[in-house]
Amino acid sequence: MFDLERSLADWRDQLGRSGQCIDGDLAELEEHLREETAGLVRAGLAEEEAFLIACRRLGRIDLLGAEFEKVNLRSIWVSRSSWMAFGILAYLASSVGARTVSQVVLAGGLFSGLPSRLTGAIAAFGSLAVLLALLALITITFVRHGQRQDTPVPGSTARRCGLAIGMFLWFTLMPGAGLLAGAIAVKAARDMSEFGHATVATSIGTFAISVLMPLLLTTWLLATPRFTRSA
Amino acid sequence: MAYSKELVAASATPLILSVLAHGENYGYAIIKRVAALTEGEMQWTDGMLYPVLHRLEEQGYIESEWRAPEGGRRRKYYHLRKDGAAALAEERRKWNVVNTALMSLWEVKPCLT
Repeated sequence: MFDLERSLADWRDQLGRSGQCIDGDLAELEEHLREETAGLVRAGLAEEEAFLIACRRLGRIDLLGAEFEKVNLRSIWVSRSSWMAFGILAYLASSVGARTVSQVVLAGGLFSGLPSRLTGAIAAFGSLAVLLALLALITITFVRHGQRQDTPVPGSTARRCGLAIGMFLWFTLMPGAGLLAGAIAVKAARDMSEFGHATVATSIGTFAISVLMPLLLTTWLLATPRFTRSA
Repeated sequence: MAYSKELVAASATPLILSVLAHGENYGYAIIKRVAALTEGEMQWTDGMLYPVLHRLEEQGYIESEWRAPEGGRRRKYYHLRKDGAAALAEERRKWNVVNTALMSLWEVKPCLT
């Protein structure tokens, strides 16, 4: 059984997925399709036939997208750069979190008398795990909710303010907690050489990560398939 | 007969501006009006009108507004702005020059068929 609403939604999705149209464009084209379909139905066609002909008259989706892209270029780039800025912010937020975790682990390890090198290693790789987990969490949340949005932070003023306050707190409290944990780690170490060993071990781990992470990300970027427009 | 892409693209602006000079209208109605005026000879791909409309809006020639007629669905209405009227006058002058030139050429030459 043909469902007009569903077909319209599918059509809209398909055009929207290319990212070349903005919301208003899609609504306007959808209204056009509705009116053309209704006109053809009045002329005696079945709804399904009418919809297919209306789509055909409106034009091929890829060609439409390409034309709209030319007009929307500025908005498209504003949207892309806001997502890039969001990506950088997400990375910074994750790495601040990871650094704090590493300091806390260091303090905890030294406090409970774990061997200093083991503590350092756990701190380094624990922070990597936290970094990756936070990045993954942010990515999944926004891929799920942000799919249809032009910018990562749409919505009400309240939500925008909430985000600003949240970011401010995160970027002040987390490094603050890190500092505190660092001070505790110094106090907890039996002597300075133990503290030194632990921090050196952490640094080695962090170094390994800072070499591996860009390599991994580059490989991932190179391996990502290109979304080519179907001709 | 198929009209070249260039001719369709070049005539789209004066056609749209002229339709809007008769009063505000929305996309679907503008297309149907042009189709009726050209007696279906110049078939546009319907969807291609919208990017042209948006470009004209960006240039400040026309303005748009979403509005729902009573008991109807929301539509985006376009109307001509002052700059658009001036642009239309300019278009009109240019097309007249071309038209006059062709007309006089075609009239002085005897028709061979």
